[in-house]
Amino acid sequence: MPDDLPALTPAVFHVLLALAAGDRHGYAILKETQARTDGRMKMQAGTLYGTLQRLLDLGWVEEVDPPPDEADARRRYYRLNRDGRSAIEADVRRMENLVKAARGTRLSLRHRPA
Amino acid sequence: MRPGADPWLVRCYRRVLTAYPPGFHLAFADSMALDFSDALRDAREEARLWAVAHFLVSVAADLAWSVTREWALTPVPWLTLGYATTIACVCEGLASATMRNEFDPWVVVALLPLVSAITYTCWFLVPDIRRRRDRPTCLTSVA
Repeated sequence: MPDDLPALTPAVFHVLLALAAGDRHGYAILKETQARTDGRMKMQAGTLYGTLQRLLDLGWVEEVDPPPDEADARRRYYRLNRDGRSAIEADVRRMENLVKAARGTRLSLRHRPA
Repeated sequence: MRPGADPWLVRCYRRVLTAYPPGFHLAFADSMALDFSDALRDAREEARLWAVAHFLVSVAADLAWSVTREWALTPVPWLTLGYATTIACVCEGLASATMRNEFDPWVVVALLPLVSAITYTCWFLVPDIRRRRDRPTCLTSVA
């Protein structure tokens, strides 16, 4: 996966980030994204599955069997594969470089409590 | 159906999901309905009317946006527009030749919405409805 990949959209980034922690079904991805962003990003199903469709087409994500302890057989699980992991790692590196560049300026980057 | 979910709202949602392109609907409609049911239950557990109302408004906005986007990613809108433009041009060409008038492109533009609607219905919607109707019942979800 090349490092000059264009920046990922917020939806793609958060879906990949949720899947980087392990296999998830759709609703778990939505909940995790909401929790990770303190409710600032509330993705709905249309956006999520549109994003998953494109990630499946790109081959960054694949559908896997549900874990044996899954009570609802209708749940479909998704897994991040090697290309997807490389893509999100490249995007995180890109953002790290941006933050590093911003720290070199006179911007105030101290954490502000919410 | 899980306890706490509102069957009629979920049924309505399932019906609205048929607005997606057939391939997308076939792949994700069941998962989307399941997620909607869970999210609705969670919004109700907050026990606030505004939480449910806010959730339903954001679902409606998401549906409007994502249905448009998914259709735009298929060739159907462009094929419909192409067919409709051709048909409207032929109609206006024949009419102007018969009435010995000049070809008026504004007539084509004015005809385009109606001809597009008819073209979409005849070429895409009716065959799709037939395909869905003829699909064996073992392939339709009972969820």
